[in-house]
Amino acid sequence: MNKISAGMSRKAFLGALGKLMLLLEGAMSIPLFRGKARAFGAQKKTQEPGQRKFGFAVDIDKCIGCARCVEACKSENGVSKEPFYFRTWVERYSVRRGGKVDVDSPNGGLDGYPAQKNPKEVERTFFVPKLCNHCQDSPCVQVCPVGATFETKDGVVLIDEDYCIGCRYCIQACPYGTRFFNPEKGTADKCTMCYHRITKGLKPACVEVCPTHARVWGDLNNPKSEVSTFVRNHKVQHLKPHLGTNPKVFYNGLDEVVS
Amino acid sequence: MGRHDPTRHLKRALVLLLLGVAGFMVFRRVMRPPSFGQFGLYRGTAVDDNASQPLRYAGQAVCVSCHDDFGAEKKRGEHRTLSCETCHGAALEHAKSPIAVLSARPKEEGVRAFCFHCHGSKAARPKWFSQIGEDHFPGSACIKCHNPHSLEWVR
Repeated sequence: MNKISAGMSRKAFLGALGKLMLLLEGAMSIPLFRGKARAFGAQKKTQEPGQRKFGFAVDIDKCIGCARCVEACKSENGVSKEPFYFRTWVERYSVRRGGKVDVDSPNGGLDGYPAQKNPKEVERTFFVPKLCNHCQDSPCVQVCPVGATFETKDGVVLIDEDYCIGCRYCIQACPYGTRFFNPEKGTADKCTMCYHRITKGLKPACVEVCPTHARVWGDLNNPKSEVSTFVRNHKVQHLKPHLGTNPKVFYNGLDEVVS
Repeated sequence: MGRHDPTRHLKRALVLLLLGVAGFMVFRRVMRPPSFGQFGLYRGTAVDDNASQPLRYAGQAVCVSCHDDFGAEKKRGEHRTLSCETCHGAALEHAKSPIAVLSARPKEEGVRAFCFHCHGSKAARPKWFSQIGEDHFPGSACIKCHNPHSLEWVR
């Protein structure tokens, strides 16, 4: 044992350490320090009064698979017309006798859907529109190494195109497959709920053009908004609720085979 | 303090640590965008960047503010749930300069396949939705008989 450690016994050292920890714990509860402490991870989702929280709902029973939403999304947001890039797309589910499930979405639905093979085997078939779920606890936001994807105060998950380094980690992390790599910009890309429209009081482009009102959008904090009314009056579900992502996109008429 | 000062290596480590922290703080100040952390762990101005993307769809209200006749006609028919731009496409350019940009017509106007995007018969479509088979006046354009604005008979 050398001179320095001889100055303090192990017991005294541990005791002092304990007191220091208690002191730090106390300091965290002082409001002045709390803000700083939160910046290091434990970010609390507080909503200021009067703050909007945008949400989205999809009524599967009303979707006719016309893909007008896909077309509108592509032209509103300048998404490449090539058939691999979609911010929203429409899937056709075909559940066959015996439980086999086929899912297809040729060109996101824009090219129409070919006739099903052995149509007599198909027990039930329906369309499911897909888009970013704008999760409250989003895996993509958690994994971004540079803070280039985030959830705004009004509940929309966005990408900072100037800050994105194109590492594609968020694309891997999204359990809904809604993100893609935009080769023109060199960044990740996805649905913004038409943030440039909704902040000006307009509907998202897909909601605007949907002919059957299968897509509903609005402020979840306003009980009179279209989406709040829809969520109140339908038995809605989330996609993959077991992942605990808390999406702000609600589905009515969701079949158990849809994931 | 002689050659055998036992705390000397600790002091060196402390100086190195402080230099490291100071260096990091300078680096952080230079590299961090000013709005980072304004709302959360992201660049605050990125919200405005997203909000300032250009618009292309005008919205139903803008269309009927001039074309109120079509708006009223549409309200009476089965197509009342549609927005003008569902068929006519993005029309903000036309709304901004209606004379210069006359392109707010459906891209495939008069083409049977255009109506069949929605009204083609498909098993996956909900049963309540009006679906037309290929055997219904095969090959003719739908708008020969149907008025798309009100769905009244044209002839």
